[in-house]
Amino acid sequence: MRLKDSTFLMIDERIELAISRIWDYGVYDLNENDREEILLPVIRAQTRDALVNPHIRSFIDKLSVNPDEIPSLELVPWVPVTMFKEFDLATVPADDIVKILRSSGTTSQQTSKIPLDKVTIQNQNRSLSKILANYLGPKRLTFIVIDHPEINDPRNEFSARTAGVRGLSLYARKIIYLLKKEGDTLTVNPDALLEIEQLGKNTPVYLFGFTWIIWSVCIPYFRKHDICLNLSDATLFHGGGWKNLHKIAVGKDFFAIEIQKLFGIPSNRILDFYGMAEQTGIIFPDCECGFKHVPSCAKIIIRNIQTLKPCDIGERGLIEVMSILPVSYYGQALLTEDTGRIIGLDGCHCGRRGMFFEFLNRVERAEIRGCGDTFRMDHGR
Amino acid sequence: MEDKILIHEGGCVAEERYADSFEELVGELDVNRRMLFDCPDEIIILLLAQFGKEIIKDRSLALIPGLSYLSLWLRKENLNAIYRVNFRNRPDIRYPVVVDSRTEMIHVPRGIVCHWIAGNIPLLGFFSLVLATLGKNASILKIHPQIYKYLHLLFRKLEQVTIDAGEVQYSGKIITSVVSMVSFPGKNEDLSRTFSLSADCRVVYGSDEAVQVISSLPHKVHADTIVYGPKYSFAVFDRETIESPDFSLMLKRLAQDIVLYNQAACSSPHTVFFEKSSVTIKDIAGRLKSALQSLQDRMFYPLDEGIALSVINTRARYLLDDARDILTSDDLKWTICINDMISLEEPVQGRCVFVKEVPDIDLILPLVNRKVQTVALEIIDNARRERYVRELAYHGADRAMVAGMMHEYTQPWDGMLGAGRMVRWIAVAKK
Repeated sequence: MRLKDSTFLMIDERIELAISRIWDYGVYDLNENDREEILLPVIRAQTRDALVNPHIRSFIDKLSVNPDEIPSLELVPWVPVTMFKEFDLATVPADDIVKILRSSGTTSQQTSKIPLDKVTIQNQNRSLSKILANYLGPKRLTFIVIDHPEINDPRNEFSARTAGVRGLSLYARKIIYLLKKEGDTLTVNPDALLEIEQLGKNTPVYLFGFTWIIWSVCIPYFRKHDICLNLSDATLFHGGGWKNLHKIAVGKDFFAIEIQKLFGIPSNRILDFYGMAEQTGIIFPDCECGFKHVPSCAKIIIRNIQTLKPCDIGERGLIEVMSILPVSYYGQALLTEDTGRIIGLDGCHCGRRGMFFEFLNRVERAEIRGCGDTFRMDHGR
Repeated sequence: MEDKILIHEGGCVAEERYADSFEELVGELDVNRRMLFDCPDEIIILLLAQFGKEIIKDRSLALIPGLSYLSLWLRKENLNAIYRVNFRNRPDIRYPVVVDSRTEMIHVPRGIVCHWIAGNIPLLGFFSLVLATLGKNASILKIHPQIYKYLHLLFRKLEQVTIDAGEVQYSGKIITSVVSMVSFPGKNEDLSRTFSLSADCRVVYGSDEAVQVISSLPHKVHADTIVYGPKYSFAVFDRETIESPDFSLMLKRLAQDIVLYNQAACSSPHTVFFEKSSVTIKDIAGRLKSALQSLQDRMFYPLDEGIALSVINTRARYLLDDARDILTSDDLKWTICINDMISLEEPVQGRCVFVKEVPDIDLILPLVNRKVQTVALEIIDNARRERYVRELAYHGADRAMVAGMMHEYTQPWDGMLGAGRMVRWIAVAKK
């Protein structure tokens, strides 16, 4: 595509303005060259601004990088996403922080702390709305959360599940929580089920749930009680917990068949999505062709796990998520512990433009360590 | 992996098969081991030495990690030395070892040696096997299926080796016919128990958890258990060494120690201490960087993905912490973390080494305990070196080597003469 305004993103232009206008380019309308041209000046400026954080300054200085001279998005210094568990990566004064996301993730006891200011929250919300609208249409809909209401209680810790529920509820006209907690156990709430059954047959709804919870709580309950919903106009977003499903040999296709059978949701509207608390505001749902697309505010780089260089199309590597949304912390380039591969740089049949990719798995921790596997030495000064 | 015993093809086994017990295999090995017992000790050494010469010439084996070292280790002189130190005699001497004026002693095999081989060093199983074979034992190696591809190639090569001794021709089959490789899930208690009960001697390699579990399995009353548990290794350079002209050469040797086996061996250095000298620690780290850069690409094997992530995260920690410094390659080939904490750093593996400046190398001694295996010690003054070795040993270290020698599979190892533990000593009254 041709840029609408070639002077749109001058380095000196205010970053906030640049971010707010990113959606003028559409949600999924940038090819990779345009993306590079548009995002690079913003990310350069954001990286320069991030030097106020002593850790980021140390990081950038040790890599001998001059933010103003970063030649391409691939060369923007990336931080492993787990560093939010160990370092304060805030890039605005403490007074500006209005919320700290605490995410324990799904596989670690340590908590990530992601400091958010008002601007970042606005950016994230706007982005989520744009992405959801692209998948659900312009109208706000009834939102069925396949989880329990406490998951969204601000007094509780902000988990990956919370992030999903809260993020997706931005688009909700009304929220129904399908599950409830009985002690420590999750089960289907019959009242919520009744409410869903009473929705008009053609009421458009969207649903969200943690994949493993849908499989281990919801589906057994539906089978046991012979429940079959008819949500033929619904869209299900689900994500997380695939490791457990793979252990019991349940793949994406089989999951979709079961959902279609029990919820009545067409298989092309059962959308596995990828996202993380550290990049709230950006979710990567599957498109109708089963691939994930990158919104205008972001870029995905797949890095070879041995060389750390960007992978070629089809090559498996670590997923790096770049974003211009965060201004209150350094989230411009985050390397995840997840692997994926690029399917193509443009031309997905769903019509969305730019690079599209697929998520493969989370990297397993080292298994074979043998006699070199020494435990902590309990010594130090 | 299925809850059955996978008996791999190779050694005494003609075709891969599954079994529920070890009974048949043990019976087969027990019969075969008589032939090994009757073979002269020096012939076994000659066969192994010939095998060592041939593997290095065979291009089909070139991709086996650690092959050139195995070839070097199988030199006749080295095997003779291992024999001598373990069995107190030369292999070609038929006389018993004299105990006193009235008693002599001879050694005989224990029987079946069961080896629990850890997967971190692909050829570990072969080294362990050689020690058992020198004592003329039969061996069952419990291996991770991933390392079968290497061991299988070696066994096939060994059985083809022949030597002529006078009018008799000996074949490597004498050795391979008393070896078998098996795999089964270690979590299967029944199989683990029966494997343990098959052994006249148990040799266990692995992490703390693995050796604790295996050691507690029931076993024959007479069976000895040799444990090579988790160990930590590091290096020490004194001031004089650092200021000597040979220092760069020593760093190059240390670089090889760091890189070999992707730093997953118990003899791999994780921390390197440099005594305060006229050379700054930053300068030293820079010279170590040059040493690592000078190593050939073929020495760097791909990292396990989990370990690669640990390296990535460790790098980020050092980059984000303005109190610490780090040098890295653009890829994950090597990582040098610099800090001044007097401590033994938790191993990251993946060719990630921690370098530290210490005011006096004596400050390191209190850190040493029984988990420490190899210390590469570079001290120029002999008296100081001798005193330091005694102190290291007193605190618990097993080996005091020099840079470039850390991985040499010496006897003793982990404080033991392994081959000597795999034989029985028989007292014989003199006539």
